Amino acid sequence: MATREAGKKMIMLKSPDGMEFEVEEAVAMESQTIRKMIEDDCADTAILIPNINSKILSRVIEYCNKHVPTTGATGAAASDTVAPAALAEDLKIWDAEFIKVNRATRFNLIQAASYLNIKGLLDLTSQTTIDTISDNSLEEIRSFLSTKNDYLPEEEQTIRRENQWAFQ
Amino acid sequence: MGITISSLRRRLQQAHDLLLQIPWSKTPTTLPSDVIFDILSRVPAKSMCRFRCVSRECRDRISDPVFIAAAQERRPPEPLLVVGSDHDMSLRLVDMDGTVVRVISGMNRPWVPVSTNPDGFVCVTTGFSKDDNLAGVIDLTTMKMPVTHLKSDRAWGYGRAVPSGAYKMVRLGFHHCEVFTVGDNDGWKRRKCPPFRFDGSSHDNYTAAVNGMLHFLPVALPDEEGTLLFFDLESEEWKCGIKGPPKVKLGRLNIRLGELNGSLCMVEPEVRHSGYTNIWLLKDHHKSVWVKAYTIPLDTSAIDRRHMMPLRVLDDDGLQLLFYSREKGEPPELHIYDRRHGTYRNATKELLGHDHVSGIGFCSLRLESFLSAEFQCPVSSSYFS
Repeated sequence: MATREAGKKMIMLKSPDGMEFEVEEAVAMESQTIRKMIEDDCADTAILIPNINSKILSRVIEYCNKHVPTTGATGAAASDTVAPAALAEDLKIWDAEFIKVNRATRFNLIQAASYLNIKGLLDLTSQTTIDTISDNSLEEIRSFLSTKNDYLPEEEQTIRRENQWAFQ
Repeated sequence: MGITISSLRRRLQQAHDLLLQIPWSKTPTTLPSDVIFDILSRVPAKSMCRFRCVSRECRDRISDPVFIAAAQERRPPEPLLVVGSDHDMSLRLVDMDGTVVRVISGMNRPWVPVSTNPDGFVCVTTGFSKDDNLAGVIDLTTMKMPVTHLKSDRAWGYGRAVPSGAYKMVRLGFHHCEVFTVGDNDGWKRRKCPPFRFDGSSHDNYTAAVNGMLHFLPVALPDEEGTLLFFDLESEEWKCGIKGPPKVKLGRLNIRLGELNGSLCMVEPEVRHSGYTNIWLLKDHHKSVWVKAYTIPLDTSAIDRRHMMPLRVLDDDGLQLLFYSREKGEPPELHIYDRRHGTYRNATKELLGHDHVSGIGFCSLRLESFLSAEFQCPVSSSYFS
């Protein structure tokens, strides 16, 4: 296993399109899926991340880098001098910038976060999606869900009546 | 609903396995179905109710107990106002945007909601002026409403036991204490009386349940400090020993108890600087630590002229407080107090419109109840003595 700095274990992540990313173990372990692989000793050499292309994987690593709890020589200075509330506020602003991506990238990030089991990233990408669909019309929701209206007219009338309040 | 952790896990694992089999295109225009329903489980209750109208498949997925359980885990219950209407005897549930979520009808007399209610229930009374007092609870999931007479009873309270979650009513007379568990057929069961005689009046704001403990304001002389009495709704035993906030005499008639965002709160009109009302929150149950959270420029010292109850802190930082106030002979009003500026504004019209209102309370509803078929039904009441 590669080591770059004293006390910092490095992990190699490989995307299916052949790119390799060397990251700190702590950063990689933001992903519960990778954490499990490391803990089960299945990760001696490089870990192949299936289905996540290098462009998305690099963004995921960027996210994990930012969100890894700051400990050790370099991190201590930051958490000592900055109040937790200010740190949280800083992360919020960073997240808001990070998620300014097009829909295809966001969907890729959701799937990556879901596969790699990174709760913070899944929350962020899902919430952003919810913000865009919550007020959508039924037609827009149908397209999001790739589903068709298969209610009979009377059925639709009944269910619309029962949920009338939600359309106000 | 019969969902176990292991069945949830199994379903999640299945979903996960399925996900791995899906050929992911480089630029997806849509998401795998399980990821989509993970996202849907996070949308606000209002959007979810709307999405039920999208298609049968969507309705069925949203009605699936496993989906509802997962969605419920992600969110606190939805905050709602419960508003009594003067002219048609109905109760309305209103969300924080002022949208009427449900009209609860089918009741045979006008009911006044009490100010704080446990999740999924609305407690109502016929008022406490005459001998023939009634109190009832509406279970918002089943729309059933047990009703009790409080003729000879001097105090009553209600709340949810922890950890069992059983919903219980307690009534107290001079020489008796009785407990009723909603949903079982045992009726009122006698329990030991409180450690000292309790003869407070049957006013809803003299009792408040927080975290499985039903608190009662003590009977004390106006000058005495006194301690709060509380009833453990799980073990059905009396305990006492919570002191009031510093220098607050609990025996004063204009002191009120309530529940505010999960904490016990006390409403205390200032004596020395009249014209102000303090809202205290109990921060530590064991050490009787109270924090004066709000001082509102509202005179409630003469309780027969005006009283107020806080209903809900509206934001995470505690800057906005929704409260209810009522002046004698006037309809109740809603106000929002802004701690930064120390002022409040009338929010009655924006939240309740122009209807005639007999009383306002605060309740909250779990997603499960929103999505239950019974939630659409009129209330069915059952009397018991």
